[in-house]
Amino acid sequence: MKPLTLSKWLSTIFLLTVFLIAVIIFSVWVGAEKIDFVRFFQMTSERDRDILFYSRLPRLLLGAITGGALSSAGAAYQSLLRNPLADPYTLGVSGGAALGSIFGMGLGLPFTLISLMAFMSALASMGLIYWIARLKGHLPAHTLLLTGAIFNAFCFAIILFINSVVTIEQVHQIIFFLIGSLSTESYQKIAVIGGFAGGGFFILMISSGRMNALSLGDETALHLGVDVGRFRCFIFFAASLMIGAVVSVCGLIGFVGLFIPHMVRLIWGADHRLLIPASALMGASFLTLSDTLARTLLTTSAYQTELPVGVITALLGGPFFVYLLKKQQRCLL
Amino acid sequence: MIKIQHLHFSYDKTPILKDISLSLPKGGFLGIIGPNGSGKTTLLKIIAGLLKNYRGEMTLEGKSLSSLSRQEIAQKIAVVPQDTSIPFSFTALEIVLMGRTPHLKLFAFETKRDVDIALKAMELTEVRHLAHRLMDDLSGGEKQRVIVARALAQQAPILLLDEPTAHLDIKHQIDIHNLVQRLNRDKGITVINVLHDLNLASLYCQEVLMLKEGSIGFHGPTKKVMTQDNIEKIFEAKIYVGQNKDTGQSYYLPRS
Repeated sequence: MKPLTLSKWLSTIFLLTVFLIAVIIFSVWVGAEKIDFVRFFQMTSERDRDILFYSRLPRLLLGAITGGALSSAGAAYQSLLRNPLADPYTLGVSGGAALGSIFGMGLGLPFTLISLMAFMSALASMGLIYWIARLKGHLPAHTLLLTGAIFNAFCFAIILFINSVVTIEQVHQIIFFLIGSLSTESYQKIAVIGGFAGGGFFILMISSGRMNALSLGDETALHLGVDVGRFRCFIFFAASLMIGAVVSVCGLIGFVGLFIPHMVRLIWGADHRLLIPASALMGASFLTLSDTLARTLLTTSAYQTELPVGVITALLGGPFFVYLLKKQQRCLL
Repeated sequence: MIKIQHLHFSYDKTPILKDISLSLPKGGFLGIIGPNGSGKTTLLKIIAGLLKNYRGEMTLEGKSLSSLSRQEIAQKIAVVPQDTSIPFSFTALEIVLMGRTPHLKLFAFETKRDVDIALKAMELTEVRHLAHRLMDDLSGGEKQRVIVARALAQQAPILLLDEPTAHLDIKHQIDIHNLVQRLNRDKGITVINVLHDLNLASLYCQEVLMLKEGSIGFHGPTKKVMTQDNIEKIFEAKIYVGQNKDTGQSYYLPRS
């Protein structure tokens, strides 16, 4: 594979952007309710417009933002922790963010504050997991994953505790949250989390040039002139911002940050300057498509219901995690 | 160009380095030898600016090391470390191009010139033909030569090596050291090399620093200090020193 050049970068980003737009256009028209093209463009049908702008489009935008945020944050974690199995979900950061947002919901806080709480708890979780898993200046892969799993279990325990002391409506909300879902009607929410995620993504993009050196390990990165401590803070901050934002709306959607960066690496190589934005775009397309599948899978049969998208990603992601783990085993030891 | 005065360093409370003073002129070639745990690697890390909380003074071209940013240090010092594990599928050329990091802006692409410098470095370490192969697919020796090429691509006037040929066969041991010697002679690059192999040390280094339990045991021109007495004292082992009749070089063998 040839090293990255500006023209390769531009053409790949262009291609992926076109793909994402195509996916969004496709997904807008697909769904349980048929939308009539002709009627829609003649602007004669209120109903079609409502479905499109108040049901499907916000959901698609949310899916795209969430997929993009989870995937690029996953890629950044993998670089920084030198671990291809790291992902907001497996690391326990999403679990921490979920705990923060559920706590906020339980207190009945407004949405922006809930997002902020999710961000703070994501950042605290990342710091805590990093601190626990670090042994004598090293970060062994298995310790990291084990810490993430235990931390997730711990967060779940607290969440279930909260679940048993809140009202029945909140119970339903919490369960939906734990599975992960993209249904929303609120453009305001989308704007808030779009802002958070966009800000985080901007920091990741700026840092991506140094992530290549960072992924070779702290010491090598220092030798190559990278201020490791500072960049670690930047990246943890940015990724937590993104994860906190999307988790506070969509709940726990797992594994997207695991397999999207892996696929991007297979196709375009490991250079983070391309990996970060390409993961964001691929992740956005992927989650949008997954959600379209989730929306339509059971509505055509006798069930007449919608699957939460977290079910789809977990069903795909679980086996993929095992595959990666088996493949990486020699590196993990 | 490198000057260290009364350097002390300790991890927790265990002293690792005690009262190290040394100065190395531009174009010098220093070997650091000593038994395991004598503080060789720690000393190298301090010179590379990795460990900060030392006592004493260390200057680089007259400037205190602690006053320089990471990027400034990396433009002056390149390091070939021991550990070469790489978790992601980078190609050899991509790894060598990372040597250009200290010369690049925060988010920038390498120019044609950077790629040329990287390829030239790969030519010198004889890995040019592996440029587009993945690091995972290379042998240990090939990987290490790629890492040396990365350090060369950094184009720093000082090169630090931490047992760069520990895992290489004899041909590549000689090739890498010949290359380092050539860079030292032709380009005036200052070299500090931590070595386990006494023969390589005596063959290539102009001067040798012998560490024992964190202190300088002996320091001086290679021929003068690498005597049987000194080495036996430092390593607490019996050795035999012979002489190559053709070149007059000393060689060292273990004695039971």
